Amino acid sequence: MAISLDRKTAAIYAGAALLRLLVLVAFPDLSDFLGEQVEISTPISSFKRLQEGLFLYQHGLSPYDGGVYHQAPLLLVIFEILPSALVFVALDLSNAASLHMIAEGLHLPTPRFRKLDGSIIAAAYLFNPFTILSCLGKSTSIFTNTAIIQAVLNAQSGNAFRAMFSLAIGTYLSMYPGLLLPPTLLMILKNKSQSTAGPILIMSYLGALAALLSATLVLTDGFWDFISSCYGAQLTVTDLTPNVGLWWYFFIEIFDSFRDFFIGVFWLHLAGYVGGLTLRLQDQPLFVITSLLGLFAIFKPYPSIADVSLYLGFLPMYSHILPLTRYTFIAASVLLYSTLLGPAFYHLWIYAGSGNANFFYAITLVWSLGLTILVGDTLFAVLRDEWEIERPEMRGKSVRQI
Amino acid sequence: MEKLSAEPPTVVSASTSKQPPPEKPEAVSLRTKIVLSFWAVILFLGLPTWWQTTSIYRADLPLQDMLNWADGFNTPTAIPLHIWISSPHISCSDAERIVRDTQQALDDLNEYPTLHQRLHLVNSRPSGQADKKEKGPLRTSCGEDTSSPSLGDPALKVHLEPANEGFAFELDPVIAEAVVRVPRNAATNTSQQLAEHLYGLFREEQIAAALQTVSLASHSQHAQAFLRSQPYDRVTKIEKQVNRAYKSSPEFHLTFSLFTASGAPSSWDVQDALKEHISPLVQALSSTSKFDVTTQIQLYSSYSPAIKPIIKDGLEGTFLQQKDLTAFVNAAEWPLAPSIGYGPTINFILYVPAKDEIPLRIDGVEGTSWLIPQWGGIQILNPPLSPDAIHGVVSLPPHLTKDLLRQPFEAFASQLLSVLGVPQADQFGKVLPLQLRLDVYKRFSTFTLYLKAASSLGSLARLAQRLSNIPIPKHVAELVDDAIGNLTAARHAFLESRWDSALTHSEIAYSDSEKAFFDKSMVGQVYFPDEHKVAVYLPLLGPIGVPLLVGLLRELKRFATRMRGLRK
Repeated sequence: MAISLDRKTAAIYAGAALLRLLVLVAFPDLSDFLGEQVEISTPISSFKRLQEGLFLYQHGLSPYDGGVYHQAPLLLVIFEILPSALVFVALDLSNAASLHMIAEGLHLPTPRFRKLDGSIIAAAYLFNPFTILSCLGKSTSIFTNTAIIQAVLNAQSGNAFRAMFSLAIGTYLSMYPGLLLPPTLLMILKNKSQSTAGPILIMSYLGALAALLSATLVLTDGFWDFISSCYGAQLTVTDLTPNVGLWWYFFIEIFDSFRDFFIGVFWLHLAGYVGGLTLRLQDQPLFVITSLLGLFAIFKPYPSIADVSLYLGFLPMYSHILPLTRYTFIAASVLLYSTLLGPAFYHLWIYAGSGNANFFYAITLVWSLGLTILVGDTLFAVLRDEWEIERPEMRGKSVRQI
Repeated sequence: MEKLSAEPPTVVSASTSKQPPPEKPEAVSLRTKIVLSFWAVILFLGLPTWWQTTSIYRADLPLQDMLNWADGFNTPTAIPLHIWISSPHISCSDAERIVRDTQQALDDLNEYPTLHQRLHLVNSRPSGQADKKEKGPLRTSCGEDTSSPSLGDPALKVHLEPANEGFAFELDPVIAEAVVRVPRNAATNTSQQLAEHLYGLFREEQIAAALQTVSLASHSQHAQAFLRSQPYDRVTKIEKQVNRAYKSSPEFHLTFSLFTASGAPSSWDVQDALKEHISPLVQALSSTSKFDVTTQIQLYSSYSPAIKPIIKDGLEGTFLQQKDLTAFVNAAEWPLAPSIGYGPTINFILYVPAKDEIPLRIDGVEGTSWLIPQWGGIQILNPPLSPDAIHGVVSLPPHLTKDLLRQPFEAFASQLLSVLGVPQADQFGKVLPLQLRLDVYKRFSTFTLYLKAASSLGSLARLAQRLSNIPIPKHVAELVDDAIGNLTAARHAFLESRWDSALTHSEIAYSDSEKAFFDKSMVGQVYFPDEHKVAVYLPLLGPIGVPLLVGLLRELKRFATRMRGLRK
């Protein structure tokens, strides 16, 4: 599916590209500054750490030697060849274009749904301040985001194997996209034009993952260094640098003997939603993926605003449920409020010394609360929408859950 | 919780006039599936995780063995103290009779078997020489061969000399040997006197060993009985000595510090002083413990500000009150480093007061040095004031010479010995030969380390029994096995009176048992009782658990009613 290039679309893409390149070229300091903000770069997505790994890699050492780099070695190859500014801008634009195409091809079985204008969805992604900031801060989460968006796009348009490969890339880069396998499979299998059986798809996913992992053997000598440093860091949360998530403070405070157990609990909590949501919203796999992305942005070990930008990239496709939501104003204001106060409290704690860790942690709790309200509210709205299809006579009546 | 909203919204209209329509069967089965999907994660992933991450690894410890060691069941009841008697100039039969009678008398004096003296008549010449040169049957048959392994290390070598005058017992001033003059018209009296001398020589050591046994092992009736048979004041005196001394350890750090109240003196000839006074002692003690020596100079480091020295009319200088001496150390400001590495630090402080306080003395006492039990020694040095070369102002010397340091370091040397618990004199106040004193120290140290290692093992065993929720890592079990092995080896060495080997094994056993008892991974959970776990689990898992549990119960209830309906 091609994007129709009218003047509006061209202006959106050109404007977004220009804005990003202008800032990256004219204010390189701003990019460095943003790259050091804890809200934008986490231990597993920091561009600064990637440069450290790249330096070691280019000098023939294992990139994991310093204990600083926790990302996949494939990224090293990309940045060895290409200039970083271009890579980030291009990925952002390609993500927007993919979202554009997903939106254009989307048909939801509800009377409220109107045909979407893809360029609006792309604009909502490209001019979302979270997207812009994480692009300028060169958060490498964008690679994972691209992989997820590509998986969704290909699943929607029926390219089952490409979808599986994209998902495998996402899993290889940062593990958690593996949890999106059930809804993606569902999305592929619901597609009428698709005839490949589920087990074959799962096999192809696993095969692609194995191929990517074995490619590591070619790139670096220390395969186990890579596993322990890239996935071990996420599984055991060794680096407790503050971020917008809920893990770092909890694992600073928890008794040592319970640490392993609660890491297990947190991960299972993340995984627990997949089955329930996929079963409940069988008819709308895209919304399952969207909601899961929202949940991941709250509950994953090292979240950043790049994850939120991905969630907010998908969410506008469900703008038709907006009349059914109840707390969008609260969610929006809470997010806005914590976005502004978060950096201020971090500054108070780390630089001014007039606050303590609780200031920042409290604001990240508020941030997570805002996202939780948003996820829960949209979920409610979609379910209400479903129910209204079932019982058209109840439109507009207030409901309560029993 | 999004989960709640993820469950199917069974919804009623706000106008409650009509009942909600019944749920569709698909909706019901979907809900069952969703509840089951959450519970599948909990059961198939959550439970194994819980089991894997919170199970406590407890290596098998030989608990009963460890308790037996601590209770003293395995402590050798008789640790012989061998005394070699040679008598080159007395006829063999006479010598044998004297030895036999003396042993008899010793046994009568004292029944306590630990460090009990055993007399052996030995062949005074080395066996090789005896075989080659003197072939006489008389000499070779007289006494045991010194190289015989059953003899062990001698605590004392006694030479019997025939004499015309009366009985005399003369100790060598340095080495552990004694010359005993035996009157020719020997009567049983001689043996009695000899026995009393020998008994007196080792009596304090025996009392100290008994005291240690009582304090560290739980089965100590023999030792208690022995202590009761001894005069009370003597026992308390030795108890004080033992308490004053540092606990035995395989390693010590000695720190010599010069603290000056003002900016001078700022240097001292400490290397020479150490070489002259401390090194020989350290050398001699090195067979028992390892010693590290460090030195430091700290300027403008006055004593504790709580102390107010007094000024007496008619006497120059200032006086410290005796009650203040224990508080003299300025613990807040003096950088008396905590132990570096393994083993305790013994501090020796040379304090030079400010010019206006000189001479600083102790009220009512002649000397200016004192000992702080289990800590170290302090010495106040009042250096001679000399006029400044340029201004002619009287000031403190900038450098402490070797001569000025002689007296303080002699004091430090004797303080070191008493802080370590090396005995000074015998029961009559007569100074003992150095080798004998060091040997006594070595034996006492060995015995203490041995008892302490056993006692630590017992504490560990009791800890493991009492606290069923502490982990016991594999390496702790290995350390315990190692410690028991070394204790057994030390026990054999004790029985054979091989003190060097006993010391080596006791030291290893001691450090192993301490390492095992204080292992970091074990103590973490000592203070974490089971009821606290509820406080960790409940607030964190409760909010998630309640909706899940309610969902499961509802499903089960529905399932039960349906089964009942089917049966009808």
